[in-house]
Amino acid sequence: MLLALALSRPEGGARSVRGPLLLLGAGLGLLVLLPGLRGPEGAVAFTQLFGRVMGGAVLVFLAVTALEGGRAAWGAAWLSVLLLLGALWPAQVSSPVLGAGLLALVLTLLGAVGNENRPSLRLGNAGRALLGVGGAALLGAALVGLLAFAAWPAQTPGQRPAAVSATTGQARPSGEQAAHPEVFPERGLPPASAATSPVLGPRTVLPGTDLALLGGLLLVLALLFTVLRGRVARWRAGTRPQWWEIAALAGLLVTALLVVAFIFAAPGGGNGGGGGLAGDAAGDAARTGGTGSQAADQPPTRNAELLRWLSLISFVVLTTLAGLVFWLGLRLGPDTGEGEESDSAHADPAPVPDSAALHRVRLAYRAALASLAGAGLGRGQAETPAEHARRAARELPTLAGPLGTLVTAYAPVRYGGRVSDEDADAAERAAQDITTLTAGISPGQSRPDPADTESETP
Amino acid sequence: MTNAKEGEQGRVQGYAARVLENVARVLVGKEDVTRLALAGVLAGGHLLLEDAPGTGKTMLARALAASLGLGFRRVQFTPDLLPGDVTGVSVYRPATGEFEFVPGPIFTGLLLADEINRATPKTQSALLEAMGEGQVTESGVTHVLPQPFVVIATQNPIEHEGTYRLPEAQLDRFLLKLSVGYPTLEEEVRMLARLQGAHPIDTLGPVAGPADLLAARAAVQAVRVSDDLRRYMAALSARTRSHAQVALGGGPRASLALQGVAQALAALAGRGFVLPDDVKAAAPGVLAHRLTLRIEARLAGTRPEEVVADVLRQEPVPADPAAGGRLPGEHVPAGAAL
Repeated sequence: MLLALALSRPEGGARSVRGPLLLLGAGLGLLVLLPGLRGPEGAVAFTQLFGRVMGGAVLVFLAVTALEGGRAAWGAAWLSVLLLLGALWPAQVSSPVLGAGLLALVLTLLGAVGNENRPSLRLGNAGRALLGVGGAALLGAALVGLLAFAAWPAQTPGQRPAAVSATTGQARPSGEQAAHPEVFPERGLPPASAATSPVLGPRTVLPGTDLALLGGLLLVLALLFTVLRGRVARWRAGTRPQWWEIAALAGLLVTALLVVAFIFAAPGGGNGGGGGLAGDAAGDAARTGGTGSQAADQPPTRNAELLRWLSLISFVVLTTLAGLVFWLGLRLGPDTGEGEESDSAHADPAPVPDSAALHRVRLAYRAALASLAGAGLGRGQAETPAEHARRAARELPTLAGPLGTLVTAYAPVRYGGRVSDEDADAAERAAQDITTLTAGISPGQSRPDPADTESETP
Repeated sequence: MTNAKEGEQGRVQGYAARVLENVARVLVGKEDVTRLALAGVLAGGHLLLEDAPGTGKTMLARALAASLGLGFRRVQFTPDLLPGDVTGVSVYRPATGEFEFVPGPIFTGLLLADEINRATPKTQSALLEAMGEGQVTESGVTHVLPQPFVVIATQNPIEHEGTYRLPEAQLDRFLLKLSVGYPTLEEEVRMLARLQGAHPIDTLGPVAGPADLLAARAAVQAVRVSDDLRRYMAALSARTRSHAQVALGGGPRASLALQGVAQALAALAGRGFVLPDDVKAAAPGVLAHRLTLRIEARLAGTRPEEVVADVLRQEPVPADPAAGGRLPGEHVPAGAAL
């Protein structure tokens, strides 16, 4: 995913469209397959499928980009790699990769329409940052989740865990389990069997899964918030969001939903929504005579401990990333009273100055202006502070030092929106010096610039 | 965030210092015009150098191209030059039975269009699409130019014989029009001493690459422009339109150009924010060539640069905090005077 995004070149018009489009296509394609990919086996299968689909999409992306750029040899080479992989491992590669390839080709062609007439990438710094952070967040979440699933102990058929009650977290007897309560003597759970492999119960297998689920939900909510806020900001700026920007964000959201869905699909995946999916697994377990979550009362195994830590880590990572995305959404949104700043995607957001120091510098500058005007050296309305300072220093060379200090402190305040206490101290001292130096001078003693006298500010 | 941006501007300042120092090895006493030219390149624009023959226009373009590490092609514009000689042509290949596009010299990093006003308007206009859109369309097929792409055109004053005045639309595509000017006596003496042997342009190497230029451009775009300075720039453009001696003034593109060059000048100075001084420094080069003077003003010998100077003298500079108001973010203690 990140590779696809990284391949989007800022100056590349349609090329910029392809990455997000491929991402969206891959996400949507995998979403359809999701119902058949539950549980740990499904997670492994999903990982393989995801890799193949994205790998195929990237290869097609590279090939079409090369062909469009007139590099026929490179285009043929990338397509050959795709075909070679399909020929060598037809069962592993052909169906998903070729399916993704077809989808990618359609989307790529769609993205290439009007390439020459489309202006260069309109996504500003904030948008790029959003895509980068969102992509990184999802990749991190996916990695942590996949790590957790990869560490899952191997199971034999029929050893799937039992369902979890939506309210109590206990196994929910169903089917044959309900018909044979003697098999589940306590809390509806089957007794632990030392002869069986360590199939882990829902509460002990993934003690922190609920946390991971919560983190995933937070991340999705943060992304939703960011998307909505970004759209509001753009609409207020009078421009509609680009369709491919929406596609890119939708792709991110779909991928985020996939991550959360797998947390749901995992056995013991939470007390709430996970129950439904886990219930199916329980049904399977009952039908095949599996032992279900018979280890509920057993002490956690080494793998369970590892999984617990991974789940906790995933919660921390997901929550941190959710906070980051949320913060980004806040930055994207229209500022109170500063809406015009959001007009420019490249505008430096107004820094937050030390408001008290800013007030001190402003007062110092005003005091100095008043003193200079009293000496006949007022600022002409078409003069910049620096031009005014140079003219005043020409008339009264002793003013050069303090005026330079004052203007140096004032310019960042006035035009850069920032100031420090040291600047304020220096400005106040300079203003005091100017007042002292101009105290005994009347307007007639200095020679104001004739071009400026008519328009001097008081 | 602010420190990071200042760091970026510091890098732009260092980059610019290297380029300016390198160009100064070839051009003597032209620091100001070189600085403005570099600002134009950093702002993503194209430059028009106008002056009498032999003042160093071509040398400035060559030195900039060499210093920036861009691919360099030179086209000598003549009355018989055709558009295809610049943009490229489709050639029929009997072997394949197909037409093949042969790119013209415009497919480069920096194109020197030497004496552009000696070519016919048709050929001059061939540059319009390339300069405005960064692409060339030939036989209905559009070819995207490599980035960065910079055009530096030189021209002799139109009073000289055998020249065609650039159309307004073409002029508007140039971000800056600069005049190199004659050197002072001392500068000319120094130049003679420096160029007594081999010309330094032959050994002038790059001090940066295309990627550096793109990074510097990104940093320039991040330079902060306060709202009232934006209004100031828009007001300057508007005032050129209502000026008594002007028939056609600067448009919105002029305001955009003013902002871009002002940002670049601020970045060259290592600042993360634009000052009104940057705007004033940029205004003559940005605005003057976009003005069409009334006939009576031309007959009276008025020059566009004088009109721009007049506009700068008239337009109030936003410098004081609003009377009775406060600056954004300013906290006024209770009971304190505003």
